[in-house]
Amino acid sequence: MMEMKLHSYLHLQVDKKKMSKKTLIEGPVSPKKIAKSIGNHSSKTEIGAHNIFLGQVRADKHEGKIVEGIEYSAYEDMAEKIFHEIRESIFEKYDISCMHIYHSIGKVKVGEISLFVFVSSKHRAVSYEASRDVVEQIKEKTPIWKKEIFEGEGWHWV
Amino acid sequence: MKNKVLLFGILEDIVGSKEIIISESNSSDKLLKNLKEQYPKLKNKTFQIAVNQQIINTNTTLNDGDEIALLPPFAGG
Repeated sequence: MMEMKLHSYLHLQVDKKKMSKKTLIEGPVSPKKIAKSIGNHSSKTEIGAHNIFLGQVRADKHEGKIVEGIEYSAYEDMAEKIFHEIRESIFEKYDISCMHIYHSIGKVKVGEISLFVFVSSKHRAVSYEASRDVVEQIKEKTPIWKKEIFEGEGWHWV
Repeated sequence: MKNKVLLFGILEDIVGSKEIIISESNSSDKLLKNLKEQYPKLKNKTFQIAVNQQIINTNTTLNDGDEIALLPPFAGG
């Protein structure tokens, strides 16, 4: 019991400061991590809505070749700074309870998850708006690049 | 003076390295001119420049040790 209380206290403290762990993670985001992340919110009973956006690597075709995966690279220090700024701007703009962002770097195969955005709020409307805003800002502002790796051999920068 | 220039995405392939050191470039315009002379393939590429992780939009004075980065169009997500 003590342990649980301590955990939720720490969780609250972290959220209050809007501090974050690293956003960039090596390889794909596992479905397990997503499930665990949902479970971590059961003690936050003021929340009434979670909105989750997942980006999945698509088997695109490029000049007749089929993509088998993406290799993400980033200007990591700047990207983490931008993720922090996006987070700050979202907390300022919307009445949300908490937010988590994870983005892959390195190799992610088709069908795997490369972006996980998780926004929670009291009511649903704001969670949809904030979630979309986060994703659009990530696409526009973060220094991340992708190289599509083709089946067989070859690759190209997107 | 010397500056570290970081290269990302397709620009890394053009230059053949993730990181190079450029000397005697006291402004971002001068640096660009030097880089394009050294790597002519950069001329027809689209990219932004960041100085110490801040994207610049006009010619900017560079100081010794500033970290420069050439950023092709972003493709996260």
